[in-house]
Amino acid sequence: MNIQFKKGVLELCVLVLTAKKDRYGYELVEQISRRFEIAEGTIYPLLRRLASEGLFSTYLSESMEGPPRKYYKITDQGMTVLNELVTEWEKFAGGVREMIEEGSE
Amino acid sequence: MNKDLYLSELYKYLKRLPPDERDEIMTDYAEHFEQAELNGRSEKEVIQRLGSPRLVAREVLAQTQIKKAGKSPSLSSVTRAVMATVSLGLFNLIVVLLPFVASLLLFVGVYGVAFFLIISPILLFIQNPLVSIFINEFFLMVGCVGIGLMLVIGSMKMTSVYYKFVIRYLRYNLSLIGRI
Repeated sequence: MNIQFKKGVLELCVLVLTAKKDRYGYELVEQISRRFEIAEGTIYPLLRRLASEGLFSTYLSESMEGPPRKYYKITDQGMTVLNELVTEWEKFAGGVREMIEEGSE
Repeated sequence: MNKDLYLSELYKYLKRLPPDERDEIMTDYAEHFEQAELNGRSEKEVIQRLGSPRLVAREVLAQTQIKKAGKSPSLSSVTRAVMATVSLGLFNLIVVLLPFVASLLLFVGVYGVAFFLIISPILLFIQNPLVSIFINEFFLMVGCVGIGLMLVIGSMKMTSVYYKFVIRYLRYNLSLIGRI
Protein backbone atom coordinates (compact mmCIF):
# COMPACT_ATOMS: atom_id res chain seq x y z
CA MET A 1 0.00 0.00 0.00
CA ASN A 2 1.07 3.58 -0.58
CA ILE A 3 3.30 4.56 2.33
CA GLN A 4 2.02 8.10 2.62
CA PHE A 5 -1.54 6.99 2.66
CA LYS A 6 -0.85 4.52 5.45
CA LYS A 7 0.52 7.03 7.92
CA GLY A 8 -2.72 8.96 8.06
CA VAL A 9 -4.68 5.80 8.82
CA LEU A 10 -2.31 4.66 11.56
CA GLU A 11 -3.76 7.16 14.01
CA LEU A 12 -7.18 5.63 13.46
CA CYS A 13 -5.74 2.13 13.94
CA VAL A 14 -4.12 2.78 17.32
CA LEU A 15 -7.24 4.56 18.57
CA VAL A 16 -9.49 1.69 17.50
CA LEU A 17 -7.23 -0.88 19.15
CA THR A 18 -7.05 1.01 22.45
CA ALA A 19 -10.80 1.65 22.47
CA LYS A 20 -11.30 -2.10 23.06
CA LYS A 21 -8.88 -2.31 25.97
CA ASP A 22 -5.70 -0.71 27.31
CA ARG A 23 -2.71 -1.77 25.27
CA TYR A 24 1.03 -1.66 25.59
CA GLY A 25 3.27 -0.41 22.79
CA TYR A 26 4.54 -3.73 21.51
CA GLU A 27 1.03 -5.12 21.44
CA LEU A 28 -0.15 -2.24 19.25
CA VAL A 29 2.79 -2.68 16.91
CA GLU A 30 2.07 -6.41 16.64
CA GLN A 31 -1.63 -5.95 16.00
CA ILE A 32 -1.01 -3.46 13.21
CA SER A 33 2.00 -5.06 11.54
CA ARG A 34 0.15 -8.38 11.44
CA ARG A 35 -2.24 -6.75 8.99
CA PHE A 36 0.00 -4.43 6.97
CA GLU A 37 3.66 -3.57 6.78
CA ILE A 38 4.91 -0.56 8.72
CA ALA A 39 8.25 0.75 9.96
CA GLU A 40 7.43 -0.35 13.49
CA GLY A 41 9.71 2.24 15.10
CA THR A 42 7.52 5.12 13.98
CA ILE A 43 4.55 3.92 16.01
CA TYR A 44 6.12 5.14 19.25
CA PRO A 45 6.48 8.77 18.12
CA LEU A 46 2.85 8.60 17.03
CA LEU A 47 1.78 7.28 20.44
CA ARG A 48 3.76 10.06 22.12
CA ARG A 49 2.08 12.68 19.97
CA LEU A 50 -1.42 11.37 20.63
CA ALA A 51 -0.66 11.19 24.36
CA SER A 52 0.61 14.78 24.37
CA GLU A 53 -2.56 15.85 22.54
CA GLY A 54 -4.56 14.27 25.35
CA LEU A 55 -6.03 11.36 23.39
CA PHE A 56 -4.25 8.79 25.54
CA SER A 57 -3.18 8.58 29.14
CA THR A 58 -0.36 6.20 30.05
CA TYR A 59 0.49 4.10 33.08
CA LEU A 60 3.06 1.50 34.00
CA SER A 61 1.92 -1.96 34.95
CA GLU A 62 3.82 -5.04 36.05
CA SER A 63 3.47 -8.09 33.84
CA MET A 64 3.68 -11.78 34.63
CA GLU A 65 6.39 -12.55 32.14
CA GLY A 66 8.87 -9.81 32.81
CA PRO A 67 9.57 -6.11 33.16
CA PRO A 68 6.76 -3.55 33.62
CA ARG A 69 5.02 -2.31 30.51
CA LYS A 70 3.76 1.12 29.58
CA TYR A 71 0.05 0.94 28.85
CA TYR A 72 -1.95 3.34 26.72
CA LYS A 73 -5.48 4.13 27.79
CA ILE A 74 -7.84 6.07 25.53
CA THR A 75 -9.38 9.23 27.06
CA ASP A 76 -12.85 10.70 26.47
CA GLN A 77 -11.27 13.15 24.09
CA GLY A 78 -9.61 10.22 22.33
CA MET A 79 -13.00 8.51 21.95
CA THR A 80 -14.46 11.66 20.39
CA VAL A 81 -11.61 11.89 17.89
CA LEU A 82 -11.91 8.16 17.17
CA ASN A 83 -15.60 8.48 16.37
CA GLU A 84 -14.91 11.35 14.00
CA LEU A 85 -12.12 9.44 12.28
CA VAL A 86 -14.23 6.30 11.92
CA THR A 87 -17.08 8.27 10.34
CA GLU A 88 -14.67 9.95 7.94
CA TRP A 89 -12.99 6.68 7.10
CA GLU A 90 -16.25 4.87 6.40
CA LYS A 91 -17.43 7.61 4.12
CA PHE A 92 -14.13 7.56 2.28
CA ALA A 93 -13.82 3.76 2.06
CA GLY A 94 -17.48 3.46 1.03
CA GLY A 95 -16.92 5.94 -1.78
CA VAL A 96 -13.87 4.10 -3.03
CA ARG A 97 -15.66 0.74 -2.87
CA GLU A 98 -18.59 2.07 -4.88
CA MET A 99 -16.23 3.33 -7.55
CA ILE A 100 -14.40 0.01 -7.70
CA GLU A 101 -17.68 -1.86 -8.05
CA GLU A 102 -18.98 0.53 -10.72
CA GLY A 103 -15.68 0.26 -12.57
CA SER A 104 -15.70 -3.53 -12.64
CA GLU A 105 -19.23 -3.85 -13.93
CA MET B 1 23.72 -4.27 14.18
CA ASN B 2 22.48 -5.57 17.54
CA LYS B 3 20.10 -4.19 20.14
CA ASP B 4 22.72 -2.24 22.10
CA LEU B 5 24.13 -0.64 18.99
CA TYR B 6 20.65 0.26 17.77
CA LEU B 7 19.73 1.90 21.06
CA SER B 8 23.04 3.75 21.39
CA GLU B 9 22.69 5.08 17.85
CA LEU B 10 19.17 6.23 18.52
CA TYR B 11 20.41 7.91 21.71
CA LYS B 12 23.06 9.71 19.72
CA TYR B 13 20.54 11.05 17.19
CA LEU B 14 18.29 12.27 20.00
CA LYS B 15 21.08 14.11 21.81
CA ARG B 16 19.48 17.49 21.17
CA LEU B 17 16.32 16.62 23.10
CA PRO B 18 15.80 17.52 26.76
CA PRO B 19 17.20 14.62 28.86
CA ASP B 20 13.90 13.55 30.45
CA GLU B 21 12.15 13.41 27.10
CA ARG B 22 15.01 11.49 25.54
CA ASP B 23 15.07 9.01 28.42
CA GLU B 24 11.35 8.39 28.06
CA ILE B 25 11.77 7.64 24.38
CA MET B 26 14.72 5.35 25.04
CA THR B 27 12.62 3.46 27.61
CA ASP B 28 9.90 2.91 24.99
CA TYR B 29 12.34 1.31 22.58
CA ALA B 30 14.11 -0.73 25.26
CA GLU B 31 10.69 -2.04 26.27
CA HIS B 32 9.93 -2.87 22.66
CA PHE B 33 13.08 -5.01 22.46
CA GLU B 34 12.22 -6.76 25.75
CA GLN B 35 8.67 -7.56 24.70
CA ALA B 36 9.77 -8.73 21.28
CA GLU B 37 12.32 -11.02 22.89
CA LEU B 38 9.62 -12.47 25.16
CA ASN B 39 7.62 -13.17 22.02
CA GLY B 40 10.53 -15.08 20.55
CA ARG B 41 11.76 -12.56 18.01
CA SER B 42 15.45 -12.25 17.25
CA GLU B 43 17.21 -8.91 17.70
CA LYS B 44 18.00 -8.85 14.03
CA GLU B 45 14.37 -9.27 13.06
CA VAL B 46 13.22 -6.61 15.54
CA ILE B 47 15.76 -4.11 14.22
CA GLN B 48 14.82 -4.75 10.64
CA ARG B 49 11.16 -4.14 11.41
CA LEU B 50 11.74 -1.05 13.53
CA GLY B 51 13.37 0.91 10.72
CA SER B 52 16.73 2.65 11.04
CA PRO B 53 17.49 4.69 14.19
CA ARG B 54 17.92 7.71 11.97
CA LEU B 55 14.43 7.32 10.51
CA VAL B 56 12.94 6.96 13.98
CA ALA B 57 14.91 9.95 15.28
CA ARG B 58 13.80 12.15 12.38
CA GLU B 59 10.19 11.44 13.17
CA VAL B 60 10.72 12.19 16.85
CA LEU B 61 12.71 15.37 16.18
CA ALA B 62 10.21 16.73 13.66
CA GLN B 63 7.48 16.26 16.22
CA THR B 64 9.47 17.96 18.98
CA GLN B 65 10.50 20.93 16.82
CA ILE B 66 6.92 21.52 15.70
CA LYS B 67 5.74 21.40 19.30
CA LYS B 68 8.48 23.81 20.36
CA ALA B 69 7.68 26.22 17.53
CA GLY B 70 4.02 26.10 18.56
CA LYS B 71 4.92 27.15 22.09
CA SER B 72 7.24 30.01 21.15
CA PRO B 73 6.89 30.94 17.49
CA SER B 74 9.85 32.84 16.07
CA LEU B 75 11.68 32.87 12.78
CA SER B 76 14.33 30.48 14.09
CA SER B 77 11.98 28.03 15.83
CA VAL B 78 9.62 27.92 12.84
CA THR B 79 12.54 27.47 10.44
CA ARG B 80 13.87 24.60 12.55
CA ALA B 81 10.45 22.94 12.55
CA VAL B 82 10.23 23.34 8.77
CA MET B 83 13.69 21.83 8.28
CA ALA B 84 12.94 18.88 10.56
CA THR B 85 9.72 18.21 8.64
CA VAL B 86 11.51 18.45 5.30
CA SER B 87 13.96 15.76 6.47
CA LEU B 88 11.08 13.27 6.58
CA GLY B 89 10.81 12.91 2.85
CA LEU B 90 11.76 14.23 -0.55
CA PHE B 91 8.16 15.07 -1.23
CA ASN B 92 8.32 17.68 1.51
CA LEU B 93 10.95 19.64 -0.43
CA ILE B 94 8.12 20.56 -2.75
CA VAL B 95 5.14 20.83 -0.43
CA VAL B 96 6.93 22.32 2.60
CA LEU B 97 10.28 23.90 1.82
CA LEU B 98 9.35 25.55 -1.46
CA PRO B 99 6.23 27.37 -0.19
CA PHE B 100 8.08 28.34 2.99
CA VAL B 101 11.02 29.91 1.15
CA ALA B 102 8.69 31.63 -1.32
CA SER B 103 6.56 33.15 1.43
CA LEU B 104 9.65 34.27 3.36
CA LEU B 105 10.91 36.04 0.25
CA LEU B 106 7.55 37.75 -0.06
CA PHE B 107 7.92 39.02 3.51
CA VAL B 108 11.47 40.19 2.79
CA GLY B 109 10.15 42.02 -0.27
CA VAL B 110 7.41 43.82 1.66
CA TYR B 111 9.84 44.82 4.43
CA GLY B 112 12.28 46.03 1.75
CA VAL B 113 9.67 48.25 0.10
CA ALA B 114 8.61 49.60 3.52
CA PHE B 115 12.23 50.39 4.37
CA PHE B 116 12.70 52.42 1.19
CA LEU B 117 9.46 54.33 1.72
CA ILE B 118 10.46 55.24 5.26
CA ILE B 119 13.90 56.48 4.32
CA SER B 120 12.65 58.16 1.13
CA PRO B 121 12.96 61.72 2.61
CA ILE B 122 16.64 61.04 3.28
CA LEU B 123 17.11 59.66 -0.22
CA LEU B 124 15.48 62.74 -1.70
CA PHE B 125 17.69 64.96 0.37
CA ILE B 126 20.84 63.13 -0.72
CA GLN B 127 19.79 63.30 -4.34
CA ASN B 128 18.83 66.97 -4.24
CA PRO B 129 19.81 68.87 -1.11
CA LEU B 130 17.67 71.96 -1.82
CA VAL B 131 15.30 73.00 0.93
CA SER B 132 12.76 74.37 -1.58
CA ILE B 133 12.29 70.96 -3.25
CA PHE B 134 11.97 69.39 0.12
CA ILE B 135 9.15 71.75 1.01
CA ASN B 136 7.47 71.21 -2.37
CA GLU B 137 7.46 67.47 -1.90
CA PHE B 138 6.59 67.60 1.78
CA PHE B 139 3.20 65.94 1.51
CA LEU B 140 4.50 63.29 -0.83
CA MET B 141 7.20 62.48 1.74
CA VAL B 142 4.72 62.31 4.59
CA GLY B 143 2.60 59.96 2.48
CA CYS B 144 5.56 57.70 1.66
CA VAL B 145 6.72 57.45 5.25
CA GLY B 146 3.15 56.82 6.40
CA ILE B 147 2.60 54.02 3.92
CA GLY B 148 6.00 52.58 4.85
CA LEU B 149 5.14 52.53 8.56
CA MET B 150 1.75 50.98 7.85
CA LEU B 151 3.42 48.25 5.80
CA VAL B 152 5.83 47.49 8.66
CA ILE B 153 3.04 47.31 11.25
CA GLY B 154 0.85 45.23 8.94
CA SER B 155 3.67 42.80 8.15
CA MET B 156 4.52 42.39 11.80
CA LYS B 157 0.93 41.47 12.57
CA MET B 158 0.83 39.17 9.56
CA THR B 159 4.03 37.49 10.73
CA SER B 160 2.52 36.02 13.88
CA VAL B 161 -0.58 34.85 12.00
CA TYR B 162 1.74 33.38 9.38
CA TYR B 163 3.77 31.44 11.98
CA LYS B 164 0.60 29.94 13.41
CA PHE B 165 -0.50 28.92 9.97
CA VAL B 166 2.87 27.32 9.15
CA ILE B 167 2.85 25.34 12.41
CA ARG B 168 -0.65 24.06 11.77
CA TYR B 169 0.34 23.01 8.30
CA LEU B 170 3.44 21.20 9.61
CA ARG B 171 1.33 19.30 12.14
CA TYR B 172 -1.04 18.24 9.43
CA ASN B 173 1.86 17.29 7.21
CA LEU B 174 3.52 15.25 9.96
CA SER B 175 0.38 13.22 10.50
CA LEU B 176 0.29 12.24 6.83
CA ILE B 177 3.70 12.26 5.27
CA GLY B 178 6.80 10.25 5.96
CA ARG B 179 7.99 6.71 5.65
CA ILE B 180 6.15 4.29 7.83
